[in-house]
Amino acid sequence: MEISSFVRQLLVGISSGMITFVGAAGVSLVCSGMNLLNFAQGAFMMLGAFLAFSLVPILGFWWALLIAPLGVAAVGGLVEFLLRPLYRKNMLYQLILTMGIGFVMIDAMQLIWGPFIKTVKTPVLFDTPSIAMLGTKFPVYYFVIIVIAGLFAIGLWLMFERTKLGMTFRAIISDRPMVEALGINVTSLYSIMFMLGVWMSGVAGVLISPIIAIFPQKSMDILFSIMTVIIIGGLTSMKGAFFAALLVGIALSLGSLYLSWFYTLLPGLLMIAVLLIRPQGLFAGSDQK
Amino acid sequence: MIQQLLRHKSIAILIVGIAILAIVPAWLPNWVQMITQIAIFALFATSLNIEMGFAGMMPIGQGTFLGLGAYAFAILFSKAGFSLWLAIVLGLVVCIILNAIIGWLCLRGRAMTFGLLHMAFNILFSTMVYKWINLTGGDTGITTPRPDFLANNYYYFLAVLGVVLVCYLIMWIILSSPFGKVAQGLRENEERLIFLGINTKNYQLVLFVMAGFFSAVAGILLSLLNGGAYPAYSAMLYSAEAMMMCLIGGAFSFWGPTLGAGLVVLFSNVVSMYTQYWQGTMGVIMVAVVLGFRGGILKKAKRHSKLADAGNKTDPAVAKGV
Repeated sequence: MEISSFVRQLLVGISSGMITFVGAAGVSLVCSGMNLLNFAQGAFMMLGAFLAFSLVPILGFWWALLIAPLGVAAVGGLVEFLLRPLYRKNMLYQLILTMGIGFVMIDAMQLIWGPFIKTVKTPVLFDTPSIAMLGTKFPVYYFVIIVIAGLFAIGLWLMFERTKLGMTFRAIISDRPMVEALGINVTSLYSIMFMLGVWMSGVAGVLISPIIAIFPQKSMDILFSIMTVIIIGGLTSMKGAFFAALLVGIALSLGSLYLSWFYTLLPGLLMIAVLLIRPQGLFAGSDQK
Repeated sequence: MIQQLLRHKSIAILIVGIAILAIVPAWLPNWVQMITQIAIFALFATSLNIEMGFAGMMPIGQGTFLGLGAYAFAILFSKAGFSLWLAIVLGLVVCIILNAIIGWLCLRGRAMTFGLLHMAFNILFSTMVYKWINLTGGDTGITTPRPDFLANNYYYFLAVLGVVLVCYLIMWIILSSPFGKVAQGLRENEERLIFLGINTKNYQLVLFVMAGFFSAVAGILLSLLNGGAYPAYSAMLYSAEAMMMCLIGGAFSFWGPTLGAGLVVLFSNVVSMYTQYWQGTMGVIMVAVVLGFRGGILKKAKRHSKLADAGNKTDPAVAKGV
């Protein structure tokens, strides 16, 4: 029983870490490309979860996973339009703007869906809700999350390394004026980049919707965990965000098994330690530019 | 410095103004609560502005210190059973010590890293407030009943007004002294101050502790007004509201945050009468102010200051000469 609960918590930790990674990768992309910290990402992720709540009963989970993030990305496109006048201003202004948009979205969600807790039915795969292993049952959905988020990470990596869009993104990240000088429309690429970042939070929102209680104010918790992860991993390093998300996810889930309440402070303490000792991020290494 | 203050031409106007402020609410019993709230938030926003407007730092999570003051006082007063005055004094001492530690740690980072550390401590503090239930009461917070002699709303308002004015006087004296001029130098050109042989970190630390101290005072006043210390004090909404008060009123002026606090609190009370969506309304204000009204009402022509103009120095795009 002891070992099975350990493995189960490990599974929970890895899957929640993977979801946080998908949301954090969006912040990391926007931060490295546009030098902008998106404080509305938590609200965007919650919007994905709410859209999943509305779409899953009509379309089923898998179509919702496809469509809901597109809706979130569309909202993101509108937000990017508001951000345009601020790109070359102080980062504090961009930060306040995204924070304000986060507040607006939280209340808009409360207005549309109400303040009460919503849940989404877990999608059933292979006609069984759980796999029996080590004398206990493991919910299939956690494996589904790990597979989807893993595929997502690989797809993201391929997009960056193998496609023309990815190449242009990398070019903007390393030398924006040069890209502009080459006659590439950076303004519209910024829109695409921001929408892509927000789209990722939509995917994360739909993935997380069956395993959490969905209510607007939860956006702040999610934002905090995303910020923790990208700071630990290094603001502009997606690879760093991946490892940091796994580390935080596993630490929190195993901590809840063995430690008293103070395990919840571990990610925050780690974040502060990283900022003090290695501000570029714990895992920032070869992929830094 | 005090003589200079007394010789100031507008001193008579100030005294009359204070007298009006103190007496008029006696005839406005329905509004006393809100006016008290304005005074407290004005103190909070002004203390934040020491860092944001005067020293040009990026204090994203000032709610930490509001919460710290409220909780330190509430724990000592309600849980440990100290008397009111002892709880206030001990609470403030605890706050100063913690402020100095947090400030020393935050100031190891420059510009953006400072801001992120500020936010990180806010996240850590909020988590602690929610999870350390034995000490902080978790979601429900700690109630702090007002002592009998302050139970009357108008008397409490007078007490708050007195405390806030004393705090203002101290801040005004410090900020208009040579020390305050160095603080503004930090905002305008930190490198030059370093070349002049000034240890800028020490100045920033003093300003940080000062801002945290007055925020803690505001926190204590707020917990007595609302009858308790609640986790919402350290939430991002309060930090954002205070930043907005500074920006709306004018972050480069001493009285800007006060004006901003008056407008924001008044508006929030009006909005709360009609809808429950104050947070979203605040968001709309934030977006509108940042897009079209960055200088604030009491703005001064500071075209080349860090906050008013282009990005900060660690901004890689700026460093590369974009």
